[in-house]
This record gives sequence, structure tokens and C-alpha cells, in this order.
Amino acid sequence: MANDQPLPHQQATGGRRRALRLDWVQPIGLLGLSIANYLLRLVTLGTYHFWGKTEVRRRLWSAVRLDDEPLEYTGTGRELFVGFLIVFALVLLPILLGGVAVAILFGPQSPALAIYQLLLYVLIALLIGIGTSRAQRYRLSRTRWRGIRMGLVGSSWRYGWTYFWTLLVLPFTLGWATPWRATRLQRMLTDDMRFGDRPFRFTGSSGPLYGPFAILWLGALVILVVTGLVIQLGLTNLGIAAIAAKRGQLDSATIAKLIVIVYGVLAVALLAYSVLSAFYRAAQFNHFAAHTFFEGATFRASTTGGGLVWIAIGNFLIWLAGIVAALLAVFAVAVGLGLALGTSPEQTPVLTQAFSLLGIAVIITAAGLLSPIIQARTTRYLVERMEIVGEVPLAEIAQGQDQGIRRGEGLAEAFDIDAF
Amino acid sequence: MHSDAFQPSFEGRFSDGVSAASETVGVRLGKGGIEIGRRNPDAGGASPPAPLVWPYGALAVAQPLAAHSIDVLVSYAHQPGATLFVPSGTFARALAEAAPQLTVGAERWRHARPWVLAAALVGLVAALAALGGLTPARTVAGFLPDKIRVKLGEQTIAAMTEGKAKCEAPAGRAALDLMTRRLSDAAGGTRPFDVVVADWGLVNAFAAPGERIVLTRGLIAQADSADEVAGVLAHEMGHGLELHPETGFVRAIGLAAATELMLGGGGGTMANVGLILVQIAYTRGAETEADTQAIRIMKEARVAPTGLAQFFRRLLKKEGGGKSLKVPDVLSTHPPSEERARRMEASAGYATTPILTDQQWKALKAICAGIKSDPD
Repeated sequence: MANDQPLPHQQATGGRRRALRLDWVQPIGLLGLSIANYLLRLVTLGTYHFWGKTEVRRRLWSAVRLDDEPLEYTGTGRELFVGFLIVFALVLLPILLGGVAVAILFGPQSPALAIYQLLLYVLIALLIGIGTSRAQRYRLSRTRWRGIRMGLVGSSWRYGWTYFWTLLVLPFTLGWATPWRATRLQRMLTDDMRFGDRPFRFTGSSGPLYGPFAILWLGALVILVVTGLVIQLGLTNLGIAAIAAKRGQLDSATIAKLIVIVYGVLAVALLAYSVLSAFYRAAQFNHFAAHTFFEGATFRASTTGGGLVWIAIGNFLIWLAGIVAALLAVFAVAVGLGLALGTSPEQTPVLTQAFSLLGIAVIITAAGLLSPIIQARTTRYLVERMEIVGEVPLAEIAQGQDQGIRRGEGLAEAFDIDAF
Repeated sequence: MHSDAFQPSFEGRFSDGVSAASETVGVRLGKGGIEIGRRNPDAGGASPPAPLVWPYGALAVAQPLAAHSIDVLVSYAHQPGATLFVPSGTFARALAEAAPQLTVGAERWRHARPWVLAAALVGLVAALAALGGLTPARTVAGFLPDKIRVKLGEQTIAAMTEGKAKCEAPAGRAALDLMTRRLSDAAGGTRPFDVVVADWGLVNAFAAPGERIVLTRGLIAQADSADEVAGVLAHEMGHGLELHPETGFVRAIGLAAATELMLGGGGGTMANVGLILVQIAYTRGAETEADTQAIRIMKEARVAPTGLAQFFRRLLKKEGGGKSLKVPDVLSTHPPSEERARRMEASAGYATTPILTDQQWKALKAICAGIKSDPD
């Protein structure tokens, strides 16, 4: 054995404290991935959803670079699938059958059904908190960098309970508990977060969030009042016109006008609120980042309300484009099929039925068609607007003992908690 | 000369999975696996150890390899936590050739294949069941205990006739009971049928679970003779005997569960639209079955089947071909109503007795008298 040629480019770089650079490397081929996932979902009767989602995450995680080395997502479609099946069997199906049983025993108009529904809302509010925490735990435990796992320790039930009771506080404070609640929940999650064997620390208080929140709250009040007045005014004017013209009988044109006015005003109001709330959300994101610490390093985020609005508008247009594209595809296939067979629908009822079923499936699922692109845009914005300040002793960070949870985020999936 | 001298062709970064440090290494794609030229920090660099070899068969990549890959993050099943990052598209394409199971196409197909096969199997079973006349919902409905069916029937009737009064004029009620008993006895089900008339202008009749039937005031007003009403009643009893209402109920629950399962829980209201449409597509064979039962019941009860045929014909004319949304259940367009009317007429030829006397028929016509009806 002799090695007369020294290995090139060998150097160890982990020994000292050092600053980390956070970058985004735009993934290529997200459109192809969107279409492939969508088609595979259709031909597997929806089951491929979990594997498609996993591939999207692998791409997005890989796009995030710390010091030019990618994050790694190690979760599997099978874990997500099994997690969902368990939640389906233990939560969704009992809820469905319970509702049916109550309706059969007491009747669809009985107060028992209303009580059941009320209890259901309480249960769901509890489960959403638990699901959020469990989903976060699953995702972190499947996230690695340089082979070192992230993690979330602590009890999901405790988080779920805090989520629940602080939710009950909101209406009594006319919403003013929102920053306090968000900060409290953020602290719980952050303090339980780990990279390897090292914890994250949250030091923020809700105080600095009250300025931006006051603007949001007052703005929302103005929107509410203006919306109410405009609708009132519109209804009164139209009503007077209708009374004058037809003695109180509303014709269809007037009703159409009413619908346009009510929905139009509501849409504008919702849009105005979304824009307004984007500024608060940006302030909250930046505040939370600035008070998150890891081994002496912290995060500096510079998201802006305008930036979030821009991302939301772009995402909405992309979402719309996905639906339109799916509809056009169904239409094209239907026309093509009709031409190829040379028959009218009446002559081939079975085929028509099968095709309309497929059409329904396509339309129902089309909403998620371009979601990989939407998720990438959002993540990219957040990553590019964030940097890590301070130094981290990388070589001292060892693998954590926590293996995370075995199955994937079924609860979060069931209640559609977020898009990732 | 040493043939095993390590000549790296790529540069990468290696982490051992023990700490978050990483080191620059030389990488080569060997015959059996990726070869990683590491310098053991303890050895001080004087004599580098033999390269690590990660066999191609036990590799995993952070994202599947594609033609447009610009870098690869590899891990190895037997060295958990260790990762190798090679920022080179050339390396990615070379690795794709050496380990084709890591490419996008291979990974997707590996994950999707069992479910594509399962979906095909489900489709095949569904098609076979449809061809063989098997309906799982009907089978389940057959297992529902009477208690549940009765409860279900009560709730269905309550929901259907909400806000409508029940027509209970004593003479009319007696006539209806007479008619119901004669047909119900002929039907020969496990339990007698229970018929109510709702004060409702719509021309329609419904069968509900648990041997319950609702006739509307509009239907009785529209009928020219007691035999016509008896025919409609026999048809609805046919639905009841075949457990069609129970089957529809079981199917609705099953479809709701299946949709929730397929859409990953987030289906919501859009899915319900789909469900309703699917249910409409199911009612085809049921009408023929109910007609077959109706023919049998009427024959058994010695009621003329021509009454139902006449009722079909007259309503068909009135509705202008029977394609409007207001088509009553007895007239649903599968199979074509004209064909059904002819089938009824063809079954005639046995001795019949009128189901009600003229006086009883008049009383039935007036069963809703005394109620202040809405104009509908």
C-alpha cells in the first residue's frame, strides 16, 4: 500500500465557531412535478397525494442552503399515508358516523344535532392545536442538515390545550389577545425546538406587536363599518327603486344587482383586510425571528407587508391558472373523445357518466394543481428575506437522541392546517 | 504502479452524522459504489486511509435525480446520519447512470405502482359488481336492523315533509288505509307499509326507509282514478321491498367516507356537489325493479295495472316529454316512461276489482280538506 498522491481539497472546517449563510437555490422543473403529481393522483384515486407531497417537500427542503449545503427532508409518503389512515379511522370516520347516528336517533332538526355540532367544533379546536404541534414535530424530525436531525420535544397535548384555551380568550378581548396568544404559542414551539442536541430559545414578548396590531384592529373596524354602510345604502336604494317600480316585488334584475353589490362589497372588504393584515403578519414574522436564538446566533428577517401582498396576489393568479388549465384540459379531452367516437352523449350514456365522474374529480382536485409552485414562491420569499446573525459552534453540535414521531401529521392533514 | 491509487474526479462535502461539522473530500464513481476519499483527522494527513465505499444499491438521495439536477446530497443506509454533498450536475447524471433507481422516473413509478394497480383493481371490481348486478350498499342495507330502518324512516319523512301538514280527513284516511292494506298484504313484506299524505301541491310520491311512503296532495289531485293512485303506491312499495331508500342512505354515507378518504380530508363542500351527482347516476336499475314489484303486487291484489300506465301517459304529456326537473319519482326517465307504460299494459289480463268504490275515491280525493293549504 502506498499513497504517493495526496488527496486534494482536504480540509476540516467544523472546529471553530462560525457564521452561517442562508440561501435559496430555485428548484428547476416544478411545473413538471406539479403535472406529474396531479396525474398520478388521478390514476391512483387520490392515494399518490402523500407521495407527491413528499417529493415536493424534498425539492423545497433541498432548495434551502445553509453555507451552500442543502437541508434534507427524510420523511416518506408511507409515513404520511399511514398517519392519515389512522386519523381517518380514529377521528374522521367516528365524527361522520356519530353525526349520522345522532341524526337518526334524534332527527335532523333536533337540538341534539346542534349540541353534537357544537361539541364537534370544540373537539376540532382542540385537535387543531395538537395537530399543529404534531405536524411540526414530524417535519422537524424529518429535517436534517449535514446529517444532524432537527426535532421538537415537549407535549403536543400541552400545546393543544394552550392553543384551545387561549382561543377561548380571544372573543372576550375583542381580538386584542391575538399578539399575546401568538407570542405564547410561538414561545412554546420555539423553546421545544432542537437542532441535534441543542435547543432553540425564544426571548420575545408581545409588547412590540401591539403597535402594528392596533393599526390592524382599527383598520379592520373601519373596513367593517364602511362595508356595513355601503351594503345598507345599496340595499336601501335598490329597495326604494323596487318599491317604486313594482310595489315591493323584486324582479330578477334587481336581485342580481343586489347579489353583485353584496358580494362585490364583501370581496373588496376581504381584500382590504388581507392587505392590512399582511403588514401585521410581516411585523410578527420579523419580531419572532429576531427573538429566536440558537447557540448565540439569531435570525434577522426583513419581510414586508407589501412583499407578502405581492406573494399572495401572485399565488392567487397561479392558483387560478391551474384551475383554468385543468378545466381546459377536461374540455379538450371531452371534445376530442366526442370527435373520435363520433357519437352524441345520449348514445353512449355509460361513457358520458364515466367521463362526467372523471370531470368532477378533475375539477375538485384542480385547486391543488400548481401548489408546488405556490409553496416554492412563498418559501423562497421567506428564506431570501432571512439571515442568520452570529456564530454557531458546529463541531460541538451532536446528533440528538430524539427520533421524532413514527407517523406523519394525520391530524394536520385532516383539518388542512397548512399547505405544506 | 498502484492500480488502487485513488483519483477523485469530483469534490464534495462530507459529514459523518456525529457532529454538524463537514469536511471537503474527493469523490469518484467506482465500479461497485461511490468512493469517498476522506482524510482521517487523527492520522494527521501523513498517510490517507483507503477511501470509503458506499455501494450503489444502498444509497438514498435528498431529491430524486433528474436531467436538470445541479447537485446531489447522498446518504447511505449502513452509515446512518452520514451525508455526502456533491455540487455538480455532471456527477448527478453519472450517478443516475450507475444507480438508476434514484432517478425521478424510477422513484415515482416505484411509489405509484402499487396504488395504480390497486386503483385498477378497484375499478375492475366495481365494473364486475355493476355488470353482475351486485351493489355493496344494497347488501349492507339488508343487514340494517328493523329498529334502525324505522328510525331512519321517521327522520326522512320528517325532513321531507317539513313545514307541510299531514292530511288526515277521517273518511279519506279510511279509504287510504283500505287501499294500503290491500296492497301491503299483496306485497308480502316483513312489515306492513305506512302511508301518509302530505299537504303539498307538488305531484310526487316518495318511499322512505322502514316501509314508509309519502304521497302528495298534488299527486292525488292529478290522478283520475283510485287505481292510478294504487299503481303509484304499488310502485313505491316496490322501492320499499327492494330496500332502495335504505340503500341510497348507506351509499351516501359510504360515498361521503370514500370522498373524505380520497381527498385527504380537505374535500369540503365541493365534494358534496360531486356526491349528489354520483347519486343521481345510480337510480337507473332501481325503477325497473320497483316496476317489477309493482306489477307483482297489483296482480296479487287484483288491481288493474293499467291505472299506473294511464298515470304515466297523462303526466308525460303534461310535462312535455318528461325531461323537466319536476318529474316525479315514478316518472324518472330511466328506463323511458313510454316503455314502462307499455310494460304495465302488457301485464294486464287477469281478473281485477276496483281498489276503491266511487264514494271511497271521493273521500280520498278530499283527504286534505279542512287544511288551509299553501299555494306552493
